[in-house]
Amino acid sequence: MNLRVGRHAVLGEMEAGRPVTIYVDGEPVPAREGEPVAAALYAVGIRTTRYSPRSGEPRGPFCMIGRCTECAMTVDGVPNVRTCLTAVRDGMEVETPGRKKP
Amino acid sequence: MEVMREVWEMAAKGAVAVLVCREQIPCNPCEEACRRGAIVVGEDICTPPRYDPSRCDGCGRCVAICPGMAVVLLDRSPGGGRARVTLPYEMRDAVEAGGEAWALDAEGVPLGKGRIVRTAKASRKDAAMLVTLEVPEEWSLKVKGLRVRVMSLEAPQEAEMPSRDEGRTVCRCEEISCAEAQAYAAMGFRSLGALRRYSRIGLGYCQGRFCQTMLAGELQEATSRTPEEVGTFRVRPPVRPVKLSRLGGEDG
Ligand code: SF4
Ligand code: SF4
Ligand code: FES
Repeated sequence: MNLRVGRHAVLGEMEAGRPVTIYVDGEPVPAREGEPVAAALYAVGIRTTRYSPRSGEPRGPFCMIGRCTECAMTVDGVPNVRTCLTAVRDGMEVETPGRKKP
Repeated sequence: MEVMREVWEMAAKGAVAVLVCREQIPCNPCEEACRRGAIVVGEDICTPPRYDPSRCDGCGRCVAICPGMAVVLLDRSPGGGRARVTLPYEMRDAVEAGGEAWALDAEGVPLGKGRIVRTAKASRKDAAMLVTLEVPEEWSLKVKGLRVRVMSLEAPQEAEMPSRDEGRTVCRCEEISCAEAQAYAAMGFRSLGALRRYSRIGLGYCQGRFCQTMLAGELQEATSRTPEEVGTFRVRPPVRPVKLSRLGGEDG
């Protein structure tokens, strides 16, 4: 199944960008340049974008249009970046914020 | 301490402001609010206010406007060992004249129970209320806050709250479930604004853009109130999180 975004509600038509690699918590993940980071994660089966600071429960993209902030991750050292609206660049470092419930 | 003695004596005749503001913070709305020139901050906005009680007529404007809750009114005129303290209070749904409330000191520690003798809306624009509590005179000067029925001291309020896992989530950022929101409604919070101030619903990263509509629906249902009565969250800029470096003119 193709889980990539063809047309994005906010960003519009998505062209298939060139294949690049981003790093999620240090692990290489194949992605397409220009697609939303959250979409790249979704396409490889990563559903958790952060752990809730209150309960430690995993959270994942919910609205995909930049409203809910559930997809906020640390991108290239910048915290609270909404990955559903952030375009993939080659070599991007993405970290999952928060800690899992013990 | 001279000022305090003067305040105490004036309070025997009627309401007078008790102003305790010691921090050197950039703040002066009290000076603007007082029409009688009783409070002076002056040119340097970081100077703590100088207060002259002899000019004060107990109007309460400074009480409502001080963001630091540094001003209350004291009125010892009822006599009989009772005094009235007027405090700012933002959870206006939960207070009613005739009811009881816990009087708190500056640290939030309960001093004892007081009777609510009067509630008044501070101004048309502001959500704050002025609540007048009658308490024993001996600790009346220590009263700096109040707590209404929402937190009974006997039973910790957590015990009454439904578990977080129950049902749908309303506020994703602060993780508050529908059942939890309904429990707040049952505690007496009837407007979105009050619920937000008490529970943190809508104060997370998304700033309420996700939960507001759902929450309004829940509240309307739980309290049989109209959308107008339930109200909306107050929106203050910046609406989106903005890097300080951007505001400072640097490219963030
Ligand atoms: S109560 Fe009124 S008159 Fe007294 S200091 Fe405050 S604003 Fe001024
Ligand atoms: S408004 Fe309140 S906090 Fe600000 S200077 Fe006046 S008394 Fe102090
Ligand atoms: S998924 Fe809702 S803000 Fe990104």
